[in-house]
This record gives sequence, structure tokens and C-alpha cells, in this order.
Amino acid sequence: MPKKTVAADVAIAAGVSLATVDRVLNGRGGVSAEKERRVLEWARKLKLDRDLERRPTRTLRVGVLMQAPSNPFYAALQRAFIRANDIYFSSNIQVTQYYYDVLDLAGTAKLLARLPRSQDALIVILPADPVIERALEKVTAAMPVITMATDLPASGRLAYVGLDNRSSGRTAGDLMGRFLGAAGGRIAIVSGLHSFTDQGEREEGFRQVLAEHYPSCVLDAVLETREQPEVAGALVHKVMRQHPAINGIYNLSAGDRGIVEAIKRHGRENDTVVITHELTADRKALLKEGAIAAVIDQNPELEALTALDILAHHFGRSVDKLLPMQAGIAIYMRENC
Amino acid sequence: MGKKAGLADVAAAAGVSSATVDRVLNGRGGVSPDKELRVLEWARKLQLDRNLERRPTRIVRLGVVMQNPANPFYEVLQQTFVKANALYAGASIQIALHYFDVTAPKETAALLAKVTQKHDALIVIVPDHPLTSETLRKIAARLPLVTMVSDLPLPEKLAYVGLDNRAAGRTAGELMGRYVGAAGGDIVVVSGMQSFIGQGEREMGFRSVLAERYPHCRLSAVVETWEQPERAGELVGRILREKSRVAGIYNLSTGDRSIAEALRAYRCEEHTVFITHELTTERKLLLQEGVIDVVLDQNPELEVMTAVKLLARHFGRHDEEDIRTHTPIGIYLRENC
Repeated sequence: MPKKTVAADVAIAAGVSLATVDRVLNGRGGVSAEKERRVLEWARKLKLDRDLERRPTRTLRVGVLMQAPSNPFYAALQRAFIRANDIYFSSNIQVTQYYYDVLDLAGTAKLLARLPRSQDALIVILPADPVIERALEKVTAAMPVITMATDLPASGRLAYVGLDNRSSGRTAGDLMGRFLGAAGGRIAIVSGLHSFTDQGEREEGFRQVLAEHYPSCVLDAVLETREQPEVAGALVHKVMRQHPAINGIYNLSAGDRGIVEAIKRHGRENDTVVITHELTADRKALLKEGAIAAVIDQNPELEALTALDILAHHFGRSVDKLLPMQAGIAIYMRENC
Repeated sequence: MGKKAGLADVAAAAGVSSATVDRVLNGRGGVSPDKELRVLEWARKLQLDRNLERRPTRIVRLGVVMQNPANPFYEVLQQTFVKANALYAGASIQIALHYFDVTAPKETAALLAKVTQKHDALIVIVPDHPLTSETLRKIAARLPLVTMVSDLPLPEKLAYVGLDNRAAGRTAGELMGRYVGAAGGDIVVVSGMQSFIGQGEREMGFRSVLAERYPHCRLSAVVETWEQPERAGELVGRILREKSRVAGIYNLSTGDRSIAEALRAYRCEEHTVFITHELTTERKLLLQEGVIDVVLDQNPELEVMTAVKLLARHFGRHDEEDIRTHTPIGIYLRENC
């Protein structure tokens, strides 16, 4: 039987002193992240008879940069990151949240540029804007960055965690086609701002599925609210007057309450299918009333954990496999919301 | 930028010796609470590069009793428990898995009794059987017990973590009603074993939604497979031979592959709406082929994390107040699976 591995074997294999191996294994600190990673890697490879799952001694600081949590989606993210901070305590990862003002892009870029001084890695939810993107490129050159919810693929980020918006649009299209059935129907899309990439991708996916599988569903109109939820209802009212056959509405943005009221004004609440995104309290109520048929949602808690899981792996703080990534597109209807 | 804070700086600021700082930070004990507080306070103020959250010293041992991870569902459960074990190491929670053979209830009861002796709490995924239920009742009176996936009628258990099966059945009913559409038709329910509590609840939920909102969908047959996958196809085939048209099939349990074959044999795969449970690789394939229309899923990863979180909270190792024990009902279609 081969000789049992001892600390000295690990020291030789990892190219460090015996004292360093001892410091890592007993969690005494004072070892660089890179040496620590090497020692643990070799201790595992050589099957050293020690519990290697102890907490790493160096604290890894992860900064989260996002909008102030004033809407339900960001409030859920805030809670999720507080919980994630608890969970990743054993990996010695500390999560700190930083909030920016959506209306102050210059200030946001400045805040972003400052974060690398205090953090080892960043998770960001940022709009596509030249000033922000320039600042982000500098950060990604210095440390791992994960984009969440909305991607900035050209920024040099380590990974994107969030919905595939084209698939979520396809899912909405599939539901619309099935709900309208063989008889088909006439459809209007309500978008917030055409220039938002996530909304554009949803619309594209939705159109594709109708063309592929549901030719009897015809797109009559695409409306734009310019991200003013209060005009959505008026726009839908107008389009239903022009196209009385409309029996399907796909909303990419906000303003569902107004849309539902417009449909009622036309007395069409029983035969019009409304599909929308993001499960907020208001939309839950509309689902329960039967006014909305389905809501497509993303799971912020899972996204937060996935982002941290990727970073933990990146820094060698997690030895097991990544949790299987959930198909991120959740569907909510009256009975499961 | 200032010099990095060392132990000596913390000692000087807190007015204690370096040895005291060392004892506090490495949890060696023998320091008065007052001094410990001062050391931690200054270590935080000076941003000492150490994680300063305290790790509880007593280890809480959680035992998991479940089937051998031979099928994909149990494999995911097993992997997630391993992951949870690593994540909760910092809270001094250890998780050990114990497997039983579904065909040997007597041995399972013995295993449960044995496992109880070594653990502080149990998580069980066990069918309702008279031989095991008596043992479990005794265990629930002594330790915190969490049932998962399929509930057991144990008044003293801490919680059930899993789907609200009645709501899942209602969701299936809502989808069936909408997919079948105004034309309506005959609906067949395929159940595995009528004595499984969860399956009975699904059927009840399904029936009530059809009765409430989709009366033109008529439940014409409920067949029982005795949990034999091949029998499901035979039973469905027999019905398809007699009836010219079945509008929808709702499968509560296993046997989708054989049902799909029966549907194909009678050329019904296009127009018969087929709804089932648990998103496995095989069912994903059948979704993509368009034979299965909807899969309802219970997210085993989330169930594991929730069960562990509940017990962590029970032992004061986690402080989240609002833990949802009924996990969300996932809806999967061709486009989001």
C-alpha cells in the first residue's frame, strides 16, 4: 500500500514551505490567495487526510452595484444579496451593496470607478450607456465582474447571469398561441422603449414563435409608451378602436392596470389574452382576478446566488460542482402565483 | 492609501495585548465578553482583513433519509444536499445522507431509528407506510423533523417542504382548460397510486378548476398504473382505441414515455393536450418534440435549501423570518425548458 500523504508532500508539490502549508491548513492567515489556492489544490489531489473545507482566511469582498431598491424587483434583489452574504459566510465572502441613481449616469460612473479600491470582484446591474460602459471596461480589466439581469457583453465581464430575453419572448409567444387556440387572433405588442435591448429581444422572440408555430395569430400593432406606464392604457384603447378584432396583448414593460381597464372599456375582458413580464404585487392581483393570463418572471434570489457561486468558483472557494443552473424563465398564472 | 491594519494595531486601539486579539480572532476562548467586544469593534473600525462574524462552536447534525439516488430527481437532491453541507459549514451545521430501499419498509424503519440516535434533526423523503409511520411519529416527538417532496400526516413534525399539490393540480387544470379551448372535450387523468397523498391532492385541485371555470372539459376517466410506467401507455392506448378523440391527458405520476407512444400510435400527439409533472431529461425531450405540452416542476434544489434553512433557523443559526415552505410551482413549455 502506498505511503500516506503528509503535509511535507503537499509543500513540495505546491512549491511552498512547510510553514505555509501549515498556515493554510490551520487557517492562520498571512498567505496570499494564489498560494492558498495551490496548497488546497495539491492537498486535494494528493488526498491529504484533513478536512479541507475549512473557511479560507482571506476575506473576499464582493461589491454589488445596482439601482436603489425602490421597485419590487430591486427590493427582492437587495434581500437576496443580504441572504447570500449569510450563506457565503463559510467561504469567507463578504457582500456589500452600493446603490446608484438611475438619473445620474455621471455619478454612477464615478461610483463604479471607485469600487475596485475596496472590492475584489463586482456584480453589476447597469444600463447600456457610453459613459457607464467606458468606466466598466476599466473595472473588468482589473477584476472579475458579473453583469446581472441586463447584459453588457462588450464590457469584458466574466459572465452574465439573467434571463435569455429572446427565449422569454418565445415563451410568451408560445403561451399566446396556445391560449388563442386554433382560431387564432389579432395581437398588439406594448413596448416601453424600442432602444432597450432586453425589450427588443423579447419582441423578436415573440414574433419568431408566432411565425413558426401559430400562423393564425397576426400582429396588428406595436405600441411604444416611452416608459410612461400611465399612457399604456390610452394607447391600447386607441388601437382596439382601430382594430376591433384584437384579442391578444403582449406587454413588454409596465402599465398593465391601464391596459386591463382599456380592455374592459371595450367589454372584451373575457376573450382577450394579456401576457406580461415580472411578477409584482399588482400583477399578482391582476392574475388572481383573471384579467391577466400569464406573467413571465425571473427569479432574483436565484440570480444572486448564481452570481456569487460563479465568483466563489473563480476564486477557488468552492470545490463542488456549480448548482445546476435553473432554466431561468418562470411562468406564473392565476393558480401558481 | 494607509498601511494595512495588523493585529498589533487592533491590540493598541482596543487597549489589550496582542495575545488577547489573537485569542478573540481565532476563537480560542478565555477572553472576557467585554474585551472581546472591544477587540471586534476595533478590528472592524480598522478594517482588519479578517471575517469577523463568529462561528458557533456546537455542531448541529442533520440527517437526511431518502431513496437511493438512482433516478435523476433523487440525484439532484443528493448533489444539492452536498452543496448545502459546504454552504452551512460556517454555521457549524453538518449534513449526512442515508439511503433506503423503497421495497424494504421494515429495514427503512430500522434505519430511521438508528439515524435518529446520531442526529439533532431529520429531513425525510419517505412514502406513507404503516411500518415507517409509527417510527416517524416517535421520532417527530423527540426531534425536529421535516418532511420533503411528499408529506406525511405527522402532527408533531416541524414542517413540510415541497409543492402545495392541490395548487399544482389547479395549475394543471387552468392550463388544460385554456389549452383545450372553447371546444372542450374528454379529459383523462393517469394516476400512479391512489393512496399517495400528493397525487390525490393534485387530482382534486385539477378537478375543481375544471368544474369552476372550464365545464366543457369533461373528466371522462381516471386510470391507475400502480406506479408501473409501461401500464400507463397500455391504459391510455385502451381508451384511445375506444374513443375517437381525447382532448387532454393529465399524468400525476410516471410513464410519460409509454403514454407518448400510445398517443403516437393513435396519431393523437398533435391535438391531445398532454400535461405531466417533474422536468427530467426525458420529459424535456418530449416537450421539445411537441408530444408533452406542459411539465409542472417542483424545483428540488430549492426544496433542499429551504429544508436546511428551516432547520438552521430552528437551531438559531439563521434569522430569516419569512421562509416559504411551499415551493413555487414551475411551469415548463417547449420554449423555456
